[in-house]
Amino acid sequence: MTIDIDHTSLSVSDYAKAKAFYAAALAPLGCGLQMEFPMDDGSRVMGIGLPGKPFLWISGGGKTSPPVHIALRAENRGQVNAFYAAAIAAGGTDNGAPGPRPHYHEHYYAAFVLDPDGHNIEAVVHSPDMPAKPARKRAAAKRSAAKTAKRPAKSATAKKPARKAAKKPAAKRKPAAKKGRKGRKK
Amino acid sequence: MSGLDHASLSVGDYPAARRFYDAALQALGIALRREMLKSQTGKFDVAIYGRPEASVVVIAGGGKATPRVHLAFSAANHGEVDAFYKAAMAAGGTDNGPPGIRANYNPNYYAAFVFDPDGNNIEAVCRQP
Repeated sequence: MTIDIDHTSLSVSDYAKAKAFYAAALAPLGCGLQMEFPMDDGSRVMGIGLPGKPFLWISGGGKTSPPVHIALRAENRGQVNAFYAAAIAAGGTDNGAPGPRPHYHEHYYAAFVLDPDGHNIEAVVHSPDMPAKPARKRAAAKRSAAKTAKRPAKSATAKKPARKAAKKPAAKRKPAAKKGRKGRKK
Repeated sequence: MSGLDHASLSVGDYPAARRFYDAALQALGIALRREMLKSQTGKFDVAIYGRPEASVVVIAGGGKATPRVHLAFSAANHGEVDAFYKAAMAAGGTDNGPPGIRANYNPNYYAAFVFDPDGNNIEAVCRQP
């Protein structure tokens, strides 16, 4: 089979707060509220995902403990960066800024944010931004051609996320290096 | 984006969970990729199943998840769903819905549901007819 998680669930303490958080945080990933209905016990449940395919079911039955870890697959590094910014702005707590995690694998680029209940939500992309790079470079080159300042313009657009990542996550992750692989993300 | 990349699952009894997930996920072609025991990690027993870009991480040490979690795996065909159910039941799971069409979800939704030893609701689903 093609190994894939079809859908999963988590439970939160404040349903309305979670709804606002997930709507804002996951919008940069093209992801949003797809369905919502009441459960038998009167609590509500929402299905979050892509149009026609909810894959994250969130209910208001009290927060899941221990907190869960869920990672969403982004299409490129820009989406990972945008997810992180949106999630922090929506009340999430930093748990690892966007950047490479070479200890997972060479091209692992991810960001981690704790939701209002402490659930560890990640956006990850596994491949380098191959198709996007030449286009960006061409655009940057065009823009800077006018200014005859090619190099600074190029490095400003291309290097920014990587530099940011090299500082923060490395420092953050290292002390926990002896813990479990995924435990490090806690 | 393209959906879920990976997810974690907290369990209370690690050896029981290993037995259950080894068997249930093998039926879906998902193998144990890496294991780190408390002796290495200091705090958690961790089992990672699947590929780097599509995995489930079973963690013991923080207690079982409450309220219990629901996790569904995509199966390639109905046969895999059936095999998952059989293997999961034989490995200490509890029936929560035998293999069959769930027309209330959609006409081709063929799934089986088994509670793992901690009561987490684990499903295999095939959406193809």
